[in-house]
Amino acid sequence: MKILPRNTLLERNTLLERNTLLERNTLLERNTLLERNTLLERNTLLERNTLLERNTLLEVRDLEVSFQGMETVTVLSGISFSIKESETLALVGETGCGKSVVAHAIMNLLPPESRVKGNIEFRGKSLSEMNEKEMAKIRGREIAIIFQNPSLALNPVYSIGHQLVEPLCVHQKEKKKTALYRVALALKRMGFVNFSECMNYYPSWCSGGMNQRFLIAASTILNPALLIADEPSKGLDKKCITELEAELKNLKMESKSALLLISHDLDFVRRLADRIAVMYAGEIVELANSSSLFENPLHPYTRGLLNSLPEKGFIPIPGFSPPLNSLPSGCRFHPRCPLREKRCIRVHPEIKETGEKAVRCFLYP
Amino acid sequence: MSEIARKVTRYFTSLVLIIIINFILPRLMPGDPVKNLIGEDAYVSEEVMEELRAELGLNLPFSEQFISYTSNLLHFDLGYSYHLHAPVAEILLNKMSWTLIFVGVSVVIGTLLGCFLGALAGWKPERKASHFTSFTFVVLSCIPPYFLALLTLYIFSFKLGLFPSKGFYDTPEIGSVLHHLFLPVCVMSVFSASRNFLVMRGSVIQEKEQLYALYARAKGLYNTDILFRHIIKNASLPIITLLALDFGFLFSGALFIEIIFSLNGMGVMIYNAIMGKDYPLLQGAFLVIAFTALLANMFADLLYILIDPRVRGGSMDESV
Repeated sequence: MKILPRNTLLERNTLLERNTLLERNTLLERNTLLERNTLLERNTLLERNTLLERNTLLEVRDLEVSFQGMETVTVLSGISFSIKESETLALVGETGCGKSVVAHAIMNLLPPESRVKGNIEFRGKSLSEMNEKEMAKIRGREIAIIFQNPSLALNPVYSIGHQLVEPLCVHQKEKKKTALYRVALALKRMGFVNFSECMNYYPSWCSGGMNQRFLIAASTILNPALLIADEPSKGLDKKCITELEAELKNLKMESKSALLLISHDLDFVRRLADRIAVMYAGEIVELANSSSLFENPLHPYTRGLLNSLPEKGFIPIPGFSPPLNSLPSGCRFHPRCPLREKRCIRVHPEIKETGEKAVRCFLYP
Repeated sequence: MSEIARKVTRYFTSLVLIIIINFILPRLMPGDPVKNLIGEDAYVSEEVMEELRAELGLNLPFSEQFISYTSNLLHFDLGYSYHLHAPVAEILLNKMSWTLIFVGVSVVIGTLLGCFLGALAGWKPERKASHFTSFTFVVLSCIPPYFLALLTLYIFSFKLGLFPSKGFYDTPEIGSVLHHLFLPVCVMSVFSASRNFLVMRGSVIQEKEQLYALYARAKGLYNTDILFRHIIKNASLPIITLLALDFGFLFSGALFIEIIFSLNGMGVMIYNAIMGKDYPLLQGAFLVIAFTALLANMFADLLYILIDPRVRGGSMDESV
């Protein structure tokens, strides 16, 4: 009678010990597993980055913009594209095809009479659903824009220094003195030898090229993840354009920001862009890698554009691009297209992806 | 530099023209100047009148009269008022200080108030508050200041008895002066504010469409920060012009208000001078008012140079 309880006691003890041991073991194992997992994840992430499979920074899906006035004009429809981190995407097309509207739609800067449909996602957050205050925090810091008319984009009654300090003061609550120092450095980087003097200049005293560089400095001073350059080469002479190109390349090297380049200058775009989206009458008609677009253009409009370049024979596309308030039926390019068929006049083609490319044309099923 | 020289000559020419007009106008008036000087109520013999004529130099040729007139001006001698029996310069100096305080304070208040409310109304014109202020100021700007003065005098002074109805003070203390000046300053401020409000509102509506305002938004500025940091300085440029151009208008408004509130300043003095045909005093008052208007314009020009770098000019070669 006395032994039994002892046994039970012993058993209990051993059971307890075992349990604690088991628990300990599982804990240990779990920890190592966790560590392993995180390590694995890290490794794969690193690998991904090195494989240039970067994360998507900006994703635009089915963007449609219309302006309400005497009549409602749909300026953009079915615009979809994405920009990966530190990638350069170019939007090219004729004047009035809605390139700048895309830029303003991303920044949420369209006038109140505009209506925006579709989704614009930046780092997984929907920009179109943000209110003005949230958007203000992103503008200038995460997404910055260079407007196409630098002399008008700068305030005529404030000095350059005063205007360049502003992003630092607004977003980083920096003191004016340290901010001015940083601005001076930024101007020095932009190639101004007399940078401290430049801070006291006013936009009206400077040339368009100088103002452009001030504007670039203002927009890039916070190293935005995405920089939108809206027709940066417009109105500049050849020398200024090459300088601008070098500056943009420099910026990309240093700050690794992505660039949405909007331009109608194909040569300029070719030297800078990784991928190119060709726009016609408010739509993207072709999206492809820069090299493949220039070597093997698919859409008849892209071919026409390339043929109109001086080195390719200067052959213009016949006709004019249609006004956005009276678009032709079917394919918007059909009145000017040399390869049109019957269905082009009636049916509007959808954009189709084939591998790396996307084309909006019936020729490519 | 040449710009400054040109401006100085322009102002100098204006000054000379003012002096010439001021000299000629009374001499073009019909009737005998000596009779006018003495007034209609007193009888004086022919010999005394001749004496006076000689004393005033009115028997001399025009050119000599002009020279003596300008030399007197340079000595701050604006003539002698036979009605008030005092030198004109002395009377003017005494009355002017009160009017300047009254107009100065009102214009400063009116400009600040008008600009601020106008800017807000222009920034978001679709808001209810903006509609309300716009309506109010349009109505106020349509009411002549003397009517507004009469109305406030009737309501606040006569009916409610909150404020005294006449004079600058009962006893020459600051409290009494403030109490007396409250109503006239209010009326004058509202009058000045209504004009500034309308200009500022339109100006802001126009300026906020400019590209620099959009770029300010693209830089991350939020809502009224854009207004106060970027737009307001540009939008206030027309206000400077308005102030300079409006100077005469404000002054005449002030004269009416002074008369209604029986403030013994320039307004009442000019009114009495017109009633009593006190020509030397009138002539002196006109000269001083014209001169202050000129000064106001000069001040506006200077302000422009200070605020707008485009006026300062000085385009520089691209030095990179």
